[in-house]
Amino acid sequence: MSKPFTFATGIYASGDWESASLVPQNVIDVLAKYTSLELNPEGVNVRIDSQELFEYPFLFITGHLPVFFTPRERANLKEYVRRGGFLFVDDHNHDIDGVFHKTMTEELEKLFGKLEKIPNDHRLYSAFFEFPDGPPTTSHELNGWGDNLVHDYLMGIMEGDRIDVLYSNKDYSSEWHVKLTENRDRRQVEDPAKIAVNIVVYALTR
Amino acid sequence: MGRVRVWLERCAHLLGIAIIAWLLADSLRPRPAAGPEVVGTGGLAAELRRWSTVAAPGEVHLTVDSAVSPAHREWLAALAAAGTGVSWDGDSVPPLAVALDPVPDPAGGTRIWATAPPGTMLVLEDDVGAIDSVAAGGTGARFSTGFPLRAVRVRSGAFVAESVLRDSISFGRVLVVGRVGWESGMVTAALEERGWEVDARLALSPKGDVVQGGPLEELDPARYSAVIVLDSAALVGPGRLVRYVREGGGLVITARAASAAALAPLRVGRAGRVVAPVEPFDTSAADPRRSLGFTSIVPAEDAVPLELRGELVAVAARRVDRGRVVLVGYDDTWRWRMAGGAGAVEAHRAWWAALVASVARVDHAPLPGIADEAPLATMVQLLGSPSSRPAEAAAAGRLSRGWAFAALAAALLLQWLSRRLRGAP
Amino acid sequence: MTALARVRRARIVLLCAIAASAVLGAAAIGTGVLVLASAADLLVPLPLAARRLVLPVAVAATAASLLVAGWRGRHARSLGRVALYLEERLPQLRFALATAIEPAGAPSDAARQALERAVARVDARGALRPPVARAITVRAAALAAALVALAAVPAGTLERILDPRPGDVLLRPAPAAADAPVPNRLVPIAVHVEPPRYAGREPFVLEDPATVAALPGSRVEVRGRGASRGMMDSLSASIAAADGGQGRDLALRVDGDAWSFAIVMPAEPAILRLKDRAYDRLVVLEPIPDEPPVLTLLAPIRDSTLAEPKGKLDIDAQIRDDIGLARAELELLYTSGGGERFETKRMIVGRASFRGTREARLRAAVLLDTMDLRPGDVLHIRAVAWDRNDVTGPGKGESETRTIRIRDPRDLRDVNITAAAVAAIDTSILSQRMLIMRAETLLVQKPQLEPEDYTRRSVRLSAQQGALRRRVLSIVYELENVEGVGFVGHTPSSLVLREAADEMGTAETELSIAQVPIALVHMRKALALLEKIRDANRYWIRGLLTTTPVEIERVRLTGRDRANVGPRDPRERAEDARRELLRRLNRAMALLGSDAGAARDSLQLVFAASLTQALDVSETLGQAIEAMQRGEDARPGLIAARRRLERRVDGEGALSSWFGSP
Repeated sequence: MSKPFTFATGIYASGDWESASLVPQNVIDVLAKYTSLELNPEGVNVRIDSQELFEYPFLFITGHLPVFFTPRERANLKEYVRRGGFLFVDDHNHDIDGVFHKTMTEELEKLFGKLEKIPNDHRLYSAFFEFPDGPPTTSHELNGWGDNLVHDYLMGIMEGDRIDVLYSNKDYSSEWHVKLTENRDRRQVEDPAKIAVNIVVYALTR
Repeated sequence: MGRVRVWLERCAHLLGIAIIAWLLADSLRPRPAAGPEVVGTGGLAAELRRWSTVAAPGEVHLTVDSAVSPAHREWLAALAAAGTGVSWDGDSVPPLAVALDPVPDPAGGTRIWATAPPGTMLVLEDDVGAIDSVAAGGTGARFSTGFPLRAVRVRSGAFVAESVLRDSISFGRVLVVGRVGWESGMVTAALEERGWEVDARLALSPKGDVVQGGPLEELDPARYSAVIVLDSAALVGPGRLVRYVREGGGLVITARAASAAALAPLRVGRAGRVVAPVEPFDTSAADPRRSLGFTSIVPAEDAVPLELRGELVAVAARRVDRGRVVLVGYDDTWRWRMAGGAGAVEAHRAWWAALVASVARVDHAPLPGIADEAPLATMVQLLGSPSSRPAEAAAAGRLSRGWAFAALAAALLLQWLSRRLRGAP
Repeated sequence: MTALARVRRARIVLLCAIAASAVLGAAAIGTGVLVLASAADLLVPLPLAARRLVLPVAVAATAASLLVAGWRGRHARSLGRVALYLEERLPQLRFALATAIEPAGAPSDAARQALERAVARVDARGALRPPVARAITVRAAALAAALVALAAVPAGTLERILDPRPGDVLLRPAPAAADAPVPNRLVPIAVHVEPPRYAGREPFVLEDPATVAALPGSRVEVRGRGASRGMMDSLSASIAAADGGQGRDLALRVDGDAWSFAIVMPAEPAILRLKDRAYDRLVVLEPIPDEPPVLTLLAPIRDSTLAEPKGKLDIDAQIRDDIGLARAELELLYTSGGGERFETKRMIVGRASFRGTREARLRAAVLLDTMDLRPGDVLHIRAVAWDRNDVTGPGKGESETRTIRIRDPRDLRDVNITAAAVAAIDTSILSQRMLIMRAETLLVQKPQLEPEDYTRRSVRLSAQQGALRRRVLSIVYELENVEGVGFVGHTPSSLVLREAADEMGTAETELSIAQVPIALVHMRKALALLEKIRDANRYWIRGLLTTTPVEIERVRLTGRDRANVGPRDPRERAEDARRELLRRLNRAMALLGSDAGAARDSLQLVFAASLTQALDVSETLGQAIEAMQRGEDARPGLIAARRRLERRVDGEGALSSWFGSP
């Protein structure tokens, strides 16, 4: 009867919001594997300038291209976070000097104030699985495909210790944008999809 | 013709003499004891001083046409005790009464209960000025404020009832039991933002649940002012919950959780029709909860419906021994907070705080203060029931003498005019 | 001396007397006006506008008095009237004088001589002296009295009347206070505000203000008087942030009897606290923010996806600023690449400088053919402008960003891009509009048309509406189907288009039976729906991202890794600045009856805090404080402010049987 958790991907006017269309499937899959959360088996794509956005308190935004929000998108996102929505932004570029990073962080800071480094002992890293060293590394970081940078922290818009907006440079979008049936070449010890469980559980219980 | 006229003149003359004789006889008759001194509310202060110093009337009568101050009422009672006959009347005095209670809410709200005849326009005031007004319904009216008030007045025209806060309250923690999800997350957040200290047990996975607060040893009303059960999945030991309520604890339970058989002793009603939510959320509706889906409640006999959706009951309450239980039919109230119109976050927070406040067990500590909560009742208690106005009887006596004098004057004038017109001296 | 000569001499005397009395009287009236205005200003300080009127009024009164006197004395120019005037005062002349000067008065010389003799017999000397003396003396006395009164007016007050200017409240004499040898030197004060130079605004002066509202960076100078009375150690000023915090002392300057200090208007509301022994005064500094420029991108009007990167792209931006613009740029971000590799270049395609104008346009054109654009490339276009604020700025404003994509057929794997549909919708809108106009014309012409002709034309319109409906349905098909895949689902836009097609279908039916008015209703609904789609096309051209459901029950709890669920952290109680303001307002209002001064000071602090915490209340509070200063009842305004802060009081005309129901 009550609404299950729905993974919502934000549609924004600029950039390529649709660049990681398989992420919802993977996140829902891993959530089902480990938790008894009531889950919507399908993700939804929701325009961030719409009223519909407020029906989904978890919002995932990704992309490679420059991001410039429209005034309506900005206003909605600000209100969304104020009301208790959780915004998770992942840089699909995995490039600290990339345009998505530059433009998105500029937009976020314009809306919410300074992005802060999230300490690696934050509750986010123990909300379900233990990540004692902070965010797990991705295959892009380890195999040198990206820019050989290992981002050893995530960033966020914080209210005290509470994260309202989670920002990642780690390119989890690439990591999670794989077919569920694909046999992934996992070079790392931890499955990076597991951090998704922590992120969702944290968002639901913060 | 002339004879008749003379005869009539003589009659008028005799009538005049008769009236004079009656008046004389009446004045010579022994007088009854002096009537009561009658005063209105406006002149009462001055009269009370006079009655207590220079004059000592045997009987006084008060016509109540506006609010009588408690001090004056006590003064009248003291006069009565000292032997002065005190009576009063006041047909237009409305039976006003008011009570002010602190809400068990960390934000410090107050509830004001006022009784008045139906249709009476009641104005709620504090020391600074008017706060709100409402027309009384069948038995009265109630107000609730989200801010603390130390003293209030309820005014109806010139009549006032006053109340001051009698108790200060202290309360314990709230326990939220449910599943990890938006509802549990946002209800917990709302209560914490309101100022409640919350413990939580939220089911998540066989690998572990999300907890907040220490281990749940015992559900003790001294520790927990209220328990909120959103889902029975994480409910360990329903028997403990039943015992907690019976011992005076407060329980807010959703229809979804209330179906557990072990909670039958706490049942407020049974589940009725399921009403689907409105999607997208209607932000323009006057009542934001209209967009929420809910399981209607068929209340038990001793349950009280608190909120109706048309014909269906959405929230109901029931006392269970020393405790109280509120059954909430709504699902996903978090949608109200997220998708409701302007002020939805605060309204959702306030609504959940009010639900908890309606069952919460609190400790009271008395506060000093004097109030005039039910002026009419106190008046009756101190001075007895109202009586008819004695002034009316006195006026009747004066009225008959006046008429007699008028008749005397008319008779003599008639005789004089008639004589002059026919040339007689 | 002949009679004529006598009369002429009398005329000269009378004219001189009239002139003298007119001048004296006018001067007395003019001076009197100044005296009256000064006296009024001494009693109650006259507003500047009223004082600016006093001198013109005095001059006008003087001129009017002169004119009236001249008009009333105009008969003194006539010899006949002068002779009659003398006859009136010397009855023994028996009209000999009037007759003697009459040109045709005497029939003969003998008669004339007789008249002259009769005139000569009467001694006319002194006949004019009393009236002339009386007229001149009375007016001279009035003038003297006015001058004496004027001399008694304090110099400061006279200056306020003769040379009124903002801030001259300090020239008013201090009220005599028997019990205070040195009066409160915090009243009056004048606040001179000089806006920052970049704003190009005129300085202004406020007298005894409770609040000073000005641009941040304005020079605010507070001036008072009474410095010559000594005890300057007890006179101090400090500034503190409106939301509390440590105050900063300000240095006072003394010049003769005047004291002053100057500060720069801060960017956040602040409170000036002035102290003179036991006297205390608060002035709220309310910064009026300089808003950044507002930019509107007029072209390109919307995002679009281009099938081919050809042609000219016009860029046009409208720029506005509340104070003045400095410069603006048109910025173009060009992103190319794919997969994990993207490259972005930034170009400035237009640039302009402005000298403080408040409104400007900036245009540029980009030739797409020359940019070597490839499928999948993206252009972001926006305008940026800076204002001239050199104090807290420069304020930077940005327009919305337009995104121009170059169609990439490979994207069809995931995303259904239907660029051609953009043009199809635009054409459909035009066609629908045209059909509506034709239907409206037909309706107007109906009385002149034969019924058959009317029906035939209506049926023709029905056919055209049908054709348009089919075109819209073809766009719907394009949106909901992917080549090689087939139907992938409805999109929000395709649903609206379907709705438009339905309306068109109804209109088609109604037109086919010549029910034009009913058809028009549906035709207009269809047009509105098409326009709605066009406005939203930045999204729909990118179609639908398909999602695949996860088989939850199949994978549920199959994960094998170990978890260690951590505890939840409690939230902090939400800060409620409004509640705190309400508490402070209630406390201030409770002081109203007992200590108005303290209440006003407290209210000013609440007002200053409301400027950052509850703007919806600050105006009402400000008005209430001003009302208090004018000696009016501030309570209604304060109650209104309190109601706004309270947000909600629930009143219900019923009692519940459940104690404490929500």
